[in-house]
Amino acid sequence: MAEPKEPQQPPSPPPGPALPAAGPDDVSLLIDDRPVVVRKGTTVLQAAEQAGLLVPHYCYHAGLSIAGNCRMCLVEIEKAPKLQIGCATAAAQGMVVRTQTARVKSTREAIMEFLLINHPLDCPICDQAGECRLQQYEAAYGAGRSRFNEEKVHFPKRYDIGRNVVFDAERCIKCTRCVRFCDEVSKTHELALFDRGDHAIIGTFPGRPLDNPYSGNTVDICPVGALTWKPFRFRARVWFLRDVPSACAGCARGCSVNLATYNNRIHRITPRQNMQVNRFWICDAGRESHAPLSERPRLAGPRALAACKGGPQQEAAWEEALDRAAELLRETAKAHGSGALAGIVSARLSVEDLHLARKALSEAAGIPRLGVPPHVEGEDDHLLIRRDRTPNAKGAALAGPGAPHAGRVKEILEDVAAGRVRALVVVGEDPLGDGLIDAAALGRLDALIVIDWWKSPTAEAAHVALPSCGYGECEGVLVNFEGRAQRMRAALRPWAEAEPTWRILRELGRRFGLAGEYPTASAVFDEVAATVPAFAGLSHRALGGLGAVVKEA
Amino acid sequence: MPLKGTPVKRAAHAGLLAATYLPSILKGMWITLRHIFRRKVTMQYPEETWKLPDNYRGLPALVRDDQARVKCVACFLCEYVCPPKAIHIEAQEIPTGVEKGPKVFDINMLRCIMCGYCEEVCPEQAIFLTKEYTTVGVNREEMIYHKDRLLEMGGIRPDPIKKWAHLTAEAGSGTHR
Repeated sequence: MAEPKEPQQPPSPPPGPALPAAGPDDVSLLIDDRPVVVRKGTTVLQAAEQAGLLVPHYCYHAGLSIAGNCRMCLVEIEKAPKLQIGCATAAAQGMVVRTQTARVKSTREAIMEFLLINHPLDCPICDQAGECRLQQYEAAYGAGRSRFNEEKVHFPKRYDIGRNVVFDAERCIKCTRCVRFCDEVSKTHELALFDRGDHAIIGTFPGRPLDNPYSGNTVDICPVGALTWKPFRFRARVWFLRDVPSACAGCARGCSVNLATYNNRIHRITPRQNMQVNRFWICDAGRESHAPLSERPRLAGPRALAACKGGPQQEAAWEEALDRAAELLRETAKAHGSGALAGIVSARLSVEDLHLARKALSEAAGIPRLGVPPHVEGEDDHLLIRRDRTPNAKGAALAGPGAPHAGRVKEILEDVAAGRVRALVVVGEDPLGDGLIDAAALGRLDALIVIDWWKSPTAEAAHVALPSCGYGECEGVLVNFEGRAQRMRAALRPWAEAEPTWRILRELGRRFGLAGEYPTASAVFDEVAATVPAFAGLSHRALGGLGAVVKEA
Repeated sequence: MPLKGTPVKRAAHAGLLAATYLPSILKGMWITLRHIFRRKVTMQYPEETWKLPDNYRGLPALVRDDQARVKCVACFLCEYVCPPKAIHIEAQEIPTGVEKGPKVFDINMLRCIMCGYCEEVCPEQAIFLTKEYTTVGVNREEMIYHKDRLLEMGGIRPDPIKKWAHLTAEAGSGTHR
């Protein structure tokens, strides 16, 4: 009698972590035995990223469409006969992905060999060296040797593809990130891929160089050294640079940026990803917004007119210059009444500076009128650039002396010309250089006190000129046009004797009885948070790297 | 606190002869006399100098290739690796041939420790340690050797690897963009 056969069991699944349950809009999959739950439509590469696994890639960029041409992100997917590119394969329910198998590794090694076959290996003269994906991936996934003895394909090197961008076709791996950027983000369509095979080359069309206001982003997203930024070329090696997270002060957008510093200089500005503000991009003007710091003549130390009126400006000690400024304001108020005092304050200053401008100038010194000039240029564009070039107009309206208002400034300056205003305090503005007033009218003032970072025409005409920190030299908060407060960080030591504007205003205010310690910018901001409802609950720490939205009434 | 250990036993008197110092003087003169007939070891520096081994590490210097081209491309690796931070480089763009070269190349010989890291790290074989070991200057400024002086010290050093040959050739023929 035969024993009853056991009923046939289906082969049990291999022991491993079970797939977590997925919601209706989610899929769950295993990547390198890690269970991952992602939204439907997520690619395998993105899912791996969410699981904390790096799948190496060149052509994939989160801000661009999928091209799938570099083949670096090939991964093994169970039941698929061949390796699949992670960037263009949608994650599916129950998928089992492996990114570290021998097959994947040998494929990556082969891809690296292909990409490097015609690479000139001119790392010593390449600006990308140090942040080059070819270097990084060759070290991590490559074979580390070359079997290619033939002559490499030669292409134009050092080709000016645009006003600020230099193209080296030999270094290019044809990932087409730059082409897709110009097609999809800047929408200017200057670049295209021409020819085939190893003749393929990125190029422009006749008469249309890569010259859009966002061209610098192609340099950032270029994973190799094919596109380099002309103003930064050969200025510094990237491994010396230290990135300081900050916010751009070029327009009302206030893009998140990194200030790359070395030897107390900003050498370049690159975008910092902030999906709420600038995504991955910044404009070329913002990228070069550090240039005035080295181009314009700086105010090294406080300067004051010699006691006899009309004498030349002379260097003065801080205390001396501040005393002189307070004395001039007091004398004018005594002689002509406080109505003869006025101020012009810039909306390019931080919330801290503007708050203390209000406290020190309006409240303590009793200056009745403070004007904030607007700076408007061109039109808003489709991407980032705003016509309002004041980075902190909203901050001025909420925490400072008021929103930028051309009429109020005009009125003050007309009163200066007419002699009704006898003392003017100018903070961070240059009405003379901007053509808002002429030198003769300014000369009629009994007291012109200027706080600025450079020797502007107005500062040169001042009775007392006080040097403030330039961009990147002091801490502060900017509120962009959408109401997002972001921190500017100090990346440099202040130039010579320069001081943060809020500290100069604090010292000036103390001469008029301003109470309050205000030891640091963050302490000033804490007071703003405590007194201005829009900033309630915020602090420098709470703003973090990406900022926070202020509560507007 | 009493000292530990055994005291050395000495004769109460060195002896009458020793007290005249004559044995010691004669002994010393005998040594001197012997040395007169030995080979001389004193080197008449600076008229005579050491014969240095091939791997001697002296002052670093920049070299030119057999076409008298400055080999340094200002990659900054030596500045980066230099332990006492003796090297200061500023790069510049060069209109022809290799795109990049040093505008400023200073080595502070007061700081240099002749470790040879710069020579080892150089991807262009542009910096070598010479057998020069005398550095003279009357102030600190003079001890900072600038590019021209370093190139003069290094001279020309032919190199079998012609890494940039096609670029310099194109630059010469004018076809290079």
